[in-house]
Amino acid sequence: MGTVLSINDLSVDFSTPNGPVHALRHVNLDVPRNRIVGIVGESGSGKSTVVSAVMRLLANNANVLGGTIHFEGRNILTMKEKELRAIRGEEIAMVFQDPMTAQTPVLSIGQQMIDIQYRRPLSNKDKRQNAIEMLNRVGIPDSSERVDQYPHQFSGGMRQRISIAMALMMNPKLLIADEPTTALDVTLEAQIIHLFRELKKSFDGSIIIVSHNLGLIAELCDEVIVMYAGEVVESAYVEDLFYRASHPYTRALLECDPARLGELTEDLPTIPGDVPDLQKVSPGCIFAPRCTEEFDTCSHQQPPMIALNSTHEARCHLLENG
Amino acid sequence: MGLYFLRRLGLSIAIIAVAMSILFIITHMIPGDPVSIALGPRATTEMKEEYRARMGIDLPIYVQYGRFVSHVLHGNLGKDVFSGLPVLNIVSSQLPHTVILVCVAIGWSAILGIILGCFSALHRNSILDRFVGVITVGAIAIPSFVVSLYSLLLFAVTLKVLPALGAGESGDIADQLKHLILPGFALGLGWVGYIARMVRASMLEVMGENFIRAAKAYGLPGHTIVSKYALKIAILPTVTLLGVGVGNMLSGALFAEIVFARPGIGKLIYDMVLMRNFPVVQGAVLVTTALFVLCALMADMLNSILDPRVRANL
Amino acid sequence: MSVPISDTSVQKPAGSTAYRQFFREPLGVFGLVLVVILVLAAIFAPYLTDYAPNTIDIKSRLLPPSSEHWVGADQLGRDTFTRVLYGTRVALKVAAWSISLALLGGLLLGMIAGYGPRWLDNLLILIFDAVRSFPTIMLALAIITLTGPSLNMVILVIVITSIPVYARIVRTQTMSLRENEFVLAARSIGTGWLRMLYLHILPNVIGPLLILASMDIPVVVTIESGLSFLGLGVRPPTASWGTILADGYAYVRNTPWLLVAGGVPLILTTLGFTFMGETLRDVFDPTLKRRD
Repeated sequence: MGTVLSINDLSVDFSTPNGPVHALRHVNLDVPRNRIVGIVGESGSGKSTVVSAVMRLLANNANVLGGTIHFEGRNILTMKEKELRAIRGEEIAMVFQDPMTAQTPVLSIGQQMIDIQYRRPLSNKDKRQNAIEMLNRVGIPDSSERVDQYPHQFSGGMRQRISIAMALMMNPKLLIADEPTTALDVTLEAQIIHLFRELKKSFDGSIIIVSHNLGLIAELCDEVIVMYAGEVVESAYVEDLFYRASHPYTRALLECDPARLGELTEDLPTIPGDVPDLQKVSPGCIFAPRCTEEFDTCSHQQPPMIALNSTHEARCHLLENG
Repeated sequence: MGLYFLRRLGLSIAIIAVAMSILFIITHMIPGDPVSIALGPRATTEMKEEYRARMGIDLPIYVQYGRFVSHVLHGNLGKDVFSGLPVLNIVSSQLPHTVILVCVAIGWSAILGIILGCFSALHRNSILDRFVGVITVGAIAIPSFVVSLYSLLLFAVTLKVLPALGAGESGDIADQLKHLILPGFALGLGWVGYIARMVRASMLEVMGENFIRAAKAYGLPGHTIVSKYALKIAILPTVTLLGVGVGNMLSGALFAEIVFARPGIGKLIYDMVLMRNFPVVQGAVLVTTALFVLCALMADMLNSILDPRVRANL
Repeated sequence: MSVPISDTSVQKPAGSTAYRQFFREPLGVFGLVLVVILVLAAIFAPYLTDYAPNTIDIKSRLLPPSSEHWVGADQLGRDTFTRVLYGTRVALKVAAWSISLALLGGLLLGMIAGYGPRWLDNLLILIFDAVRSFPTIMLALAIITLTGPSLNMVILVIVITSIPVYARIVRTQTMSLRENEFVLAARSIGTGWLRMLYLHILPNVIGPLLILASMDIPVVVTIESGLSFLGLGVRPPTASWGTILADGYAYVRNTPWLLVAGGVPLILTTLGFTFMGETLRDVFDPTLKRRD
């Protein structure tokens, strides 16, 4: 089968005036060919940082402390700018969270889509035709006229489709969707989910979907990893994750998902406590302070990843003895 | 879009009209005999009579105003007190010189300013950026007429590399260009500073936008991102700045023309002020003001042409 | 100010932290130092020099700098350094008068525009725009043609062309406060407009106005110098930086020192007030940065 992307032991700090923030710690993640991998977590879990690292689009104050990101055998972290530019948009493409700011306002959509094809020796006419076809594929009506319109002339939902079209334009091997529906309302979200399902059939690359929306992940993904405060805490095939969640955090997340509530209640369940301060990372389990099942080893020793089967593992002391 | 243009044009015309009226009111608010004041101490009795008749001085003020307005609309800005020549002709013969000077100044300062601003933004906090920062502050700090005087001192008098005075031999383009260098430089120097700072700030803001990050994610080459995606937007405030700055530049041009003894509206006004030749001064000021308002209008229009978002809201 | 401010007001740092922040900016402090030097030079001019500004001494005509004449002498043998010092008085006097009157006028007209009926506001804005469309120097020249050169006229023209800028700020603040609950409550109990001005508008407006004034002083001083340079501002033999520059220009082939002496104080004034003003703005209201 093969792995398209392999992240090993990735650690990233952000420098702030008050000291370094340990945003990612020893993250491991594999994306197999032709699979859809989901990354789930709250805000601040580091999921966006991981994918930004893959694109090498981290903020200026980010420091990669260690680890490797292998894409098709090459380490992205050591590539020069020229190599990166060859890969971005061409082999790895990204769809961003906010569709309203994802395109430049002063060029037409068609012009921007033509620009993306700059590496191809095609005529402008052909590039424009490609753009129109791509717009059709993502369901933009009247594409041959609308291709000349400006971003502000499209609605939010359409702009997100356009972002997806732009990302898929060069037929990349890996598509990363960073919170693709977070900025959209539920109706549009359903449309985008539908779009992704359709694209799944014709797109032969792998997809990473980053979201805090469990429903989205459940609908689209084959495999899921759960992140909390900069660490991977659980990773499994989608069914295993949702029906046999093993990490206390994952279980709490699932319990708290409003969509899962069996009956109407007045109080939504929450996970008590706050996300930890990533400037002072404790030596023990990162989730221990908020875990309902924690015991004394938990706050002193970081748990190792325990394999529950060949495709399911979780980082928890509770699983250590079988 | 056409409607917007018409509205703005209407507003500009209204502003010019009000400006004219203000000038009219001021002229008539000065205590004393209006005719002697307007025509100055050198006017002869015949001139005063003629002026009285033409302007209808003895008629009620609103009739005078009406006449004033209708005169202006017919292009009649009055007559020179001494020569009797129509003011409009005098002014329009001098106007092109000033326009050329201002265009040269805006041209070079805009180009250099944009380049420096861009560079500074892209190499933020580098030595080049800091150096440009210091230079631009220096450029802004020196009033334009002082720059004119100092460059005259340095280049024409001390180093003797450039001509000091005049506009050059007519018909000799090279000589005329040579005579444009110092005044054009002096007039534009402050503007390089303003523009560079504005472009730098604008670029920094735009480069931080999401769509620039997206453009990088699509692997677009750096120069494309900078020129097509970033600069195109970052430049917009500069267009407005220049439009509004023309007024300031016209004042600066006045001094540059006087210091370098160049022909132009500024020199005309100065000479006429010394001669108390009010009709010409009034005419020149009105024409200059109208020019300024129209430039601001053009800058506004240019802005809406360049920015599709503005067009959408029209 | 201990008066509670509405939500629409800008959140300013408390007084003491703002001062501390100001003094942490080297440019701002440098500007302040320059301003203080200028003010002191103006006040203590007679004590800083042995000469009087208008004493003619033909023997010393156009002398270069020396121990007797620190910056040299002009074409009538008058000591240039002394004339520069006294010129500071002219500059600051013009600045003080014009800016104060413009502030007052701006406050008044801005409030009228903000509070009054819509048509009045539109009319005032139109007038403001029209006044602003005159290049200031040219308007001054037009009036001077009629009245003859006079420093008071210069001040008047500066005031006329400055009022619109100040009025705009006051107007914006007035309009945003108009609908504010606090103000509506105050009006319903019959608070007079003077109190309204003092309690509600002034606190919010004084910061931006003072910052604007600080950045405006160099412009005003430059206008005065420019007109005096043309011989249409202060009347000779009064010393003004502009008249020194005029002398320098006339005698540029004889000596560079007059020209230098006239321009340097102008440059220092611009640097000083601009740095000070920009730092004040950054400290008190960073949102102002985004204005034209």
